[in-house]
Amino acid sequence: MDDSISIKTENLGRIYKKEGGVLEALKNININVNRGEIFGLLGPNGAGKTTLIKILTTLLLPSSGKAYVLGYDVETETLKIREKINMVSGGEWAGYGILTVRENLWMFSQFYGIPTKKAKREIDKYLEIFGLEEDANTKISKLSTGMRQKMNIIRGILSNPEVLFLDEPTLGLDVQIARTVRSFIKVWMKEKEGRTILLTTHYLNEADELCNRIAIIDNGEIHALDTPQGLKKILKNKIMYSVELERESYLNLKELPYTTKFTVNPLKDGKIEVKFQIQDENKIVDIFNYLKNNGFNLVSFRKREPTLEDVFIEIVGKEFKEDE
Amino acid sequence: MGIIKKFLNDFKSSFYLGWKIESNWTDPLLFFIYSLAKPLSSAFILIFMYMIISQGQMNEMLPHLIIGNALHLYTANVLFGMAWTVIDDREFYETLKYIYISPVSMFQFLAGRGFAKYLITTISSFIIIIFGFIFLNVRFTPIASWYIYFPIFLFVGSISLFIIGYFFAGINFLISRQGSFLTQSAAGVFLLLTGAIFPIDTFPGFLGKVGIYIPQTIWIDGMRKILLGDGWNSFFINMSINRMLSMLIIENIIYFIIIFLFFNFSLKIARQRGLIDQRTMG
Ligand SMILES: Nc1ncnc2c1ncn2[C@@H]1O[C@H](COP(=O)(O)OP(=O)(O)OP(=O)(O)O)[C@@H](O)[C@H]1O
Ligand SMILES: [Mg+2]
Repeated sequence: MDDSISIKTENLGRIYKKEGGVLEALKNININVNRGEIFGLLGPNGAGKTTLIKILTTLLLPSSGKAYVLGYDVETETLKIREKINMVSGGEWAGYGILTVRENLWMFSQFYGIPTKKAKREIDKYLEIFGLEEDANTKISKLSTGMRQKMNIIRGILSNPEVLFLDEPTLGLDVQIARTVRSFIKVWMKEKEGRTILLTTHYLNEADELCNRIAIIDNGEIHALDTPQGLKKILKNKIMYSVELERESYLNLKELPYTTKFTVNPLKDGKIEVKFQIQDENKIVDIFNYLKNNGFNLVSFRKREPTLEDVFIEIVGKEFKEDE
Repeated sequence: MGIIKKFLNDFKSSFYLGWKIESNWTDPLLFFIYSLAKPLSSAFILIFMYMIISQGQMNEMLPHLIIGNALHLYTANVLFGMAWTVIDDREFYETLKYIYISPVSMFQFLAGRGFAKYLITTISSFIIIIFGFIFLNVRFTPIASWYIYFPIFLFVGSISLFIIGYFFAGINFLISRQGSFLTQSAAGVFLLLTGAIFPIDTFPGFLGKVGIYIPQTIWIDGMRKILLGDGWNSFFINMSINRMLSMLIIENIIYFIIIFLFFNFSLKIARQRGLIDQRTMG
């Protein structure tokens, strides 16, 4: 296999037996992830993202098709793969509460055969990067969600994997910690050539910021695969607007004439952002007048660039739920 | 890394983990007191119950009971402890999937965890036996060359703990936490059928015979023979210690082959069905 490709699937499928039939969690997935790439999987709940990660990390067998990681078959060459990958899933406990942060990390490093001295040095380095050095000797049952998640990210990178699988790594983290995690991911990718990350996230901005390429997946199928810029080009003929309203006046807004893909998004300062597309730019005056005449309190009214969220709505046909 | 070096390394870290989990929940002094008090109190409860049931025939059965109870700790803690590790690490610590996708083999991981349990159980078990000899008038009347047979029998029997442990661990890979009553009941069944408390020939019909196909039965009764001399055994009363030893070794070999295959098979099924990281709902 081509050495520049780190993950490859061929008509990969996975079914789960359910009462009264089967559920096709993945259908004929064909992807090639290049070395050196952060590859994103975006999709609504139940799309099959975690299922794909489980297959690639040798946790789950495929039902049909093939999958290769670093050229090795996930079904039969598991040990070869396991030596070179690692995984971190968000929103998990994942650790021995009775051990300290340092002990937990050391133990996992041993499963990868890292010499103790080197492991200790690396652990200290990463604890410092993540601002956990003060808690190195704290039992992990006493950690907060954010600290625990940082520890798990360190666990994932400690083995110096060639391919790292991140399943919603910033799930449930506050803005500050999520930012630390994101910037670390970028630094980590630059630190050594040839590393690959496969990432799933529910935060579209995160995918936009981090990923070289993104696959949009829904119902077990890939609906689009491109760079974030490339995906946004799908919408190059759409006209998009964003309107900010005071909260009270939003409550009366049931519909907006001439618009499609109408979504609402509460903002931090109590205002409401309404986004929509229009087919005919000439109608914008009518929309503006409609809002004015019906007593809506307009804070702003502007044309905007398409975001990944718009692409997502366009492709998946439903709004993206950022579940927290 | 060489195969042996890798094996030792993987074993070492899972042993370390097991040791920490078993012993690190409190300070060393408290842990020591606990290791003393727990086996002794459970032994006393058992002896007390037995006294009531047997109404004074106690003296006769006491040595049988002390040794049986002490060695059954191994069955409960090591054999079934290994099986519980699968469920605990999967659903309580949520670490099993990360260990599974690491280069460490589940076989070695469970061996390391089991061995930590083994060492700690050895403390408890020996305390009960020594206590029995010193304070409960159990007479130490060993067979000839007991000092040779004792370590050999202890070793071979310890191997069987791990072998059968893999069997129940394999089962636990396939069932959810709700299904774990299976292993719990099995632990109870083992307590009876291995003759740890009641001599196996007190059971009616075939039930008494089933026990001899469980390595722990031969092990416990063999240890009785070694430490207490002939005459303490039920089914094995006319059997020489050499014969018992060969039976134990043969069972070990047969079970090892079957269970090795079974364990790998159940890991494969678990991977097929997505059970390695299953979480019991609710
Ligand atoms: N072990 C299982 N048994 C049966 N069905 C399962 C199992 N695991 C997942 N599924 C189903 O397969 C589908 C895909 O699930 P998966 O967890 O891969 O989705 P996801 O994209 O990761 O979703 P989320 O964004 O919620 O994490 C879902 O319908 C889910 O209910
Ligand atoms: Mg998921």
